[in-house]
Amino acid sequence: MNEKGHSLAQLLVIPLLLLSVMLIFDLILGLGEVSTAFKRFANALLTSYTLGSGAMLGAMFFYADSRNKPLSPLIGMLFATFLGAVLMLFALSYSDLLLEGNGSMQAQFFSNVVHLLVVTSAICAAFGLNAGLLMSFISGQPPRTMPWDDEEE
Amino acid sequence: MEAWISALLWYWFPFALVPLGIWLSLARGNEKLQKIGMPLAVLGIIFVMASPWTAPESDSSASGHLLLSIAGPVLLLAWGCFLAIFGGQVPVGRLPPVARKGGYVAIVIGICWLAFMHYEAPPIWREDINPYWGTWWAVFILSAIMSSGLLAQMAHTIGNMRTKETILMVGICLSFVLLGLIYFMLVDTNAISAEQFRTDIWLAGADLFGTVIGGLLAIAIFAIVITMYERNLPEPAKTNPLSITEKERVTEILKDIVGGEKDE
Repeated sequence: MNEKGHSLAQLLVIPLLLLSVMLIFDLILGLGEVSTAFKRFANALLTSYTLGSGAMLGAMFFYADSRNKPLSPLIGMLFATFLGAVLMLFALSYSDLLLEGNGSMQAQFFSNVVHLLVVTSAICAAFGLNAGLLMSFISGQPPRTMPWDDEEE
Repeated sequence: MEAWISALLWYWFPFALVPLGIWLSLARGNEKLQKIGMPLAVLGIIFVMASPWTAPESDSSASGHLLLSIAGPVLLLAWGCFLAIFGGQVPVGRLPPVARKGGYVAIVIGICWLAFMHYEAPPIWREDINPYWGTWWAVFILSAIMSSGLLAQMAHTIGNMRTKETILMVGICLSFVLLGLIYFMLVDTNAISAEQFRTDIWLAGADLFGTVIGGLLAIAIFAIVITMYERNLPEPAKTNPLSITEKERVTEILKDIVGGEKDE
């Protein structure tokens, strides 16, 4: 929470509202074949969680370096990653619960990883563009003067 | 060479080098590893982009082809942002004022390039539209709308007297909504129908939600694991009070610093 009393949840209201409005508008105009939407959501969630936990496991090594190399947080994070991997493998191997036109569990897994790369690159490009634009708007303003006089030496 | 071996060698192995390189570049205590980290990651990306030639039989190479196809406009956008930021009032590395205008021109050209790809010339893979292009473009548009909304909100709530910047970000957000989304949702282009684009947007919403929630969950678990560990740490042992000699030494140091008598 910042000094004006706005929490992170409040900051997320506008983006989520915008997304909801766009999707409702999308729905009203009519959609094509979207029966795989749930599978896409679940696959994206499980893959993102598992690979994200793997990345966090890597980050945990840096944390361990600064804390006399304790084992318990490393094991905790390893367990969280393992849990994600097991959940994903279970969901992928359970009938065709999460298979999207791929013949096997392995093919779906690799397809999910590639999909995550594509989605992540799009998110990074869009966020980077807007962050860059905001920074340029800020740097484009004349420098502010202090509300008090310069200190006399 | 069998297809799966070539995919493993020329796509998945370089793909794995990207996170490994980033991880190594963040490693502390070993400068050699740090130095090779970033070149390794860049090399991995280059090899992934080259996979349409090195591993053409693999379906995954379509993503390498997509990354190569969007590299031009995305680099132009990045370069435009760089010029626009450093052409302004920055304390270090300031560029001449004309760079700022040039930066905005580069950004507009970059956006137009992407829109043209959607409208007329999408990336072609195996004589058809690249299967990942629709996903990338739809996620890009949705993320652009959400992130510009988020940044406008942040500029308004966290920033101090940032009304002008907030209004500009709201303008960017509305531009993406009106031009990018609604226009493409209603108008058939030469490359893709409006209905197909609406379908892509819907599926992109599923991808975006899934990816963001999964990523946040991983970060939350990381934070929980660390918090639990820190809470279970024993209280640090109490130290003995200072001896007379130590107190004298401290007083001496304080006198040196606060008194300033020995300053040269």
